[in-house]
Amino acid sequence: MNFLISVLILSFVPALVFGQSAPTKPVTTTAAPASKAPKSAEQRLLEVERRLRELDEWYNEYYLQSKNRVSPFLGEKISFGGFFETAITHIGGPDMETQSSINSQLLGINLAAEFEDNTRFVTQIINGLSYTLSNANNNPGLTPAKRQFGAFAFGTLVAQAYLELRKSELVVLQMGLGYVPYGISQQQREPVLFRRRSGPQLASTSDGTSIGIAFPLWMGLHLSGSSSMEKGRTGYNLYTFTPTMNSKTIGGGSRLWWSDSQSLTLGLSLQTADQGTRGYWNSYGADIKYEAEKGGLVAEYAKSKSSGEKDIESYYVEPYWTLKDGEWVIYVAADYINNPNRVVTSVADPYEIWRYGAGVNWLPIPNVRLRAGLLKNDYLNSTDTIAGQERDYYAIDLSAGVAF
Amino acid sequence: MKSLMRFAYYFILLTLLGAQSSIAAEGVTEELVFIVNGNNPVNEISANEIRDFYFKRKRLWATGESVRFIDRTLTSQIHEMFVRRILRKSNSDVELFWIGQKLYTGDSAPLRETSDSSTIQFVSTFKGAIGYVSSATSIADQNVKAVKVTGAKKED
Repeated sequence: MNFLISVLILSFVPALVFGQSAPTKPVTTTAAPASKAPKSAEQRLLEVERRLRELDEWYNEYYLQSKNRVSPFLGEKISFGGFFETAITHIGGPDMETQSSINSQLLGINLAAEFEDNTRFVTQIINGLSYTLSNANNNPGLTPAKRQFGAFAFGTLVAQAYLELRKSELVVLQMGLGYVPYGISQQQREPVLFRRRSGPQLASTSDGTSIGIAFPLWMGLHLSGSSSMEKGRTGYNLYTFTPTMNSKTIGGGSRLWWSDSQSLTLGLSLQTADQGTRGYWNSYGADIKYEAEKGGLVAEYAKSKSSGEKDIESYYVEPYWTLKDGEWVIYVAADYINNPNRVVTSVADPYEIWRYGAGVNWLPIPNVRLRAGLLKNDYLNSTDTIAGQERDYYAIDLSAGVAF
Repeated sequence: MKSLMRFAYYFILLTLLGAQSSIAAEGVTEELVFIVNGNNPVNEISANEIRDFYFKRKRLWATGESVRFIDRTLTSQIHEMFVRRILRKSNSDVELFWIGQKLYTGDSAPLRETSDSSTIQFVSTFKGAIGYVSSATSIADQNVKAVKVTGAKKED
């Protein structure tokens, strides 16, 4: 039946196409001359597909281009895409006002221009409008004196823009800026892909202030490569960046990883820089990712040491399970951070938190992710209360993300 | 009370982790034949290499030729078989992988062909191409050859 339909379509389509405006180049056929011997179904199908391919080629190369439709400028191939994410967050706790806010709207635009197999340019621009959480740690010494959603902020950030030259599997050189290959969440920090919105604490903060555990973007040069081993595959990254506290110098970072090419990836990361008044600074981390058919686990550890400050440490484990061929994802997470150095407008704001999370993602199609998540933030030790004000709080988060 | 809740939390977490199993049998694929261009000297390939080619972790053959992986349309049965037995992931995970790659590296998923015959045609044209077809399809008299696959998952 399908064959009959295809034959009918092919009988009429050329007549319809050529019967109207004449193309600048006629469609040619490479089909073999008709022979008297009857053709097999396979041969006929091949011919039909060949004709369809030729029509498609003619449509794309001659018809569309002659109509001044969008075509790559210089690049041999340009791919265009991006993501959008929107979120509603409800928060509450013992010494704070219970509140809800439609607090985040993020739009990312991605573009990749491929000049040839080994040369391409990749860029991503993120535009955002958000109501960030002011006084995220509920410190009475700050203004406002209690945790609350603040005024709206908006901005545009070039998150990635690099030229890539691939000399071999072992030598891939990128120039520009991009997500830093430090752990898992830092290098794959696409908001729309996180199961838990905004990801683990070591890759983000609720008020947008850097926790200083690792610099998030490489800048300048990034050299990477990988090689097959008897069992699996191993790779490296070497990169430069500009330290936030000392822009007169250049920092460096590296990563080593191994993967069994199937389900397990292990990595070690390092960053080092002269942070000026904060002293010489080193950050190191370890990560593990295990992916199975119906779930997996991600865990990361990171610590930064600075000669002029106390250590900052963070780690988390996030197992997840998928149902209905990945349409539903259930996750739980235990996420720890200790940042004794945080200062906001000259007021000390140290915090040590265990964040427990659980939630569900629904992906009606792989490009769309709808999330519902619950987070419980449990402040520890001397950071549990400040001047009698409790800091614990919970957050319920509903968000929707789409990649296109 | 806090410690009790924390204990309960870890208990649930570990129980759920323990319930996760992914034991895959090793063997040779049935009904799925991997083909390469007739001029490619390779005769045998491991499932790990196929995964590296598919996910673009490895982009060159030993000869230095660029790898061009030809996938099949997502809704086809043969694609489902490929995902389950060779990639050992869910269709959704594979799609999410490519969405991620597109966003943070600019890489796109391999070209997807609709039929065995168009896959054969593509592989016969490009020296570095690799694709998969049904074992019921004849590849005789075409500029392609079947390669032996090791380490694939047996039929469930």
